[in-house]
Amino acid sequence: MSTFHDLLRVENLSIDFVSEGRSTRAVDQVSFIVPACRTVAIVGESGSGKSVTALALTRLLPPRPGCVVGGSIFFEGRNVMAASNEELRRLRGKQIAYVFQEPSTSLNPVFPVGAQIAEAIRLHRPQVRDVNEEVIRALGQVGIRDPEKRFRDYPHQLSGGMQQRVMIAMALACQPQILVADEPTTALDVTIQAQIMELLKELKESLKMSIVLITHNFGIVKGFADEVLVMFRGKIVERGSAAEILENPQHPYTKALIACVPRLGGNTKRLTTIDYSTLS
Amino acid sequence: MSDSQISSDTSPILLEAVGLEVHYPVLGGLLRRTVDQVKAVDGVSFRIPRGTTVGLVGESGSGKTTIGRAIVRLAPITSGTIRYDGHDITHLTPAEFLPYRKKIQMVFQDPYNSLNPRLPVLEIVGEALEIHFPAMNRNQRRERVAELLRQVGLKPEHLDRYPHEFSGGQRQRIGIARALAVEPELIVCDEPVSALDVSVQAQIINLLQDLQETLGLTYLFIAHDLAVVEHLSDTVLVMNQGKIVEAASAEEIYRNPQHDYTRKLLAAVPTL
Repeated sequence: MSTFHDLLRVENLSIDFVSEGRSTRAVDQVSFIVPACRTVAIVGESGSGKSVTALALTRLLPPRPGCVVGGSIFFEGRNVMAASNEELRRLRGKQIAYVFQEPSTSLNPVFPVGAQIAEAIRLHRPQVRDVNEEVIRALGQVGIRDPEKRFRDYPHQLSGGMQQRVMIAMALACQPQILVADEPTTALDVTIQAQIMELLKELKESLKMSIVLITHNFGIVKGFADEVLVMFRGKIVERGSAAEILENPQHPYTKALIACVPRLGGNTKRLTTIDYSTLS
Repeated sequence: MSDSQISSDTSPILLEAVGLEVHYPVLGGLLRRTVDQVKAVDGVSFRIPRGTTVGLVGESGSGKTTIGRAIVRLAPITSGTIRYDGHDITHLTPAEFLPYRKKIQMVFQDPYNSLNPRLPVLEIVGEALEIHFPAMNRNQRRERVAELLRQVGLKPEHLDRYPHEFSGGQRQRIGIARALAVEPELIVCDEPVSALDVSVQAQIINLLQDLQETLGLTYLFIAHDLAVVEHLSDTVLVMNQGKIVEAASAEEIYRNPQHDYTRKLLAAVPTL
């Protein structure tokens, strides 16, 4: 077993965006740990700072002076904030990989999907000899039927759900230790959403990786995440095990965020909305 | 199962579709001849009683959006009939259809792409007033748009702002204000909340319900999320591959789904 049970440690992360001399704090003193083989969900609305937190993990945010990042991030004990460009290249994709919200804009429209996955493998795993075979294996792993044929397909020939599977295959082709899934199902139908979440869960088990799930929807957290962080206006307002938070939320924002998810057969005439005036 | 209609004894039928078909040709070969057809909507019949909400649910590609677009003439009707308030509106000329454009409005899915980024809110919402209420002068139009903004929960001072100055939820409110401007009876809502955060989604759904109560609106509500559709609708139509596979009251669909596809949609809804 690795001695780094806590794979990723974030301490007092703050992110400020500076524009026209004015500074806006997007993330304020956020600390959390991603243990090995666990799923941590960061839940919050648009503008809560959850996506920039995800990008900061591998220093994908724009450089100073536009964006000022403070605090520390440790991956397996190494300080990401002090990493060289060479180290960052290894970190991005090889150790921490991303799946973003919109698969149609994340894929390059002019290359077949197989070639795009192959590129990632050549870059991060030069020891692989038969790259095409590895791509086909990666496509098969995410539940794409006839991977030998789909290999040559262009993104526009695939549905949104299939495109997202390709994105996941690409992320996993480099065998990352952490997969950051930033709203991976928001652009998809609910039926496809259920399939993708199930797929991520299976892959997490079989590949023994950690997942950081970024979402605005508490509906997909249940049965998926081990731990939950609730973000509101750049701060973590509540944290705990998924079961704890879903069963017994403490912060009024968490309660409201859980309550506004529409439920089947919920006979309530009106949906609950968040009353921001009562939240500080 | 085109006969599976829910009879509504209380309200008169505002819109009725009978055997509606929208087929698109697939062109192929050197001469671009029609080699096949995509049956986007394949023989669909339904009724929308006045003052009620009919939900239309199905996955991407099921044809649900095409039905909405066919009603407002944004998609070509291959065959079948659409009756509005008893009048056959299927084959009207654009000029004959104009009064119905005032009665039937649409709210679109993507609040980022459905508003012209170069126009201020006043123009976006007020444009249709120039066509349908030509007697209104500039000041009256401004007054009316300000009132519409209040109605959808925005402020009159938002009049002169541009779309990029608003959040996704606010933009969808602008889209709704634009639809309301010409005092429609029926609004086709095509996935109006799919692009929004769940918290904002709840606000927009509540707004649509409030507007229905105060203005007596009728909705055709199109979505892929059965939880949203069930919450908002009186009657639910379940669509799959161009056909309506089940039609029942929202309560029945949830308690006692008949079709396998409906059960599949129900199972996909996350439970909390």
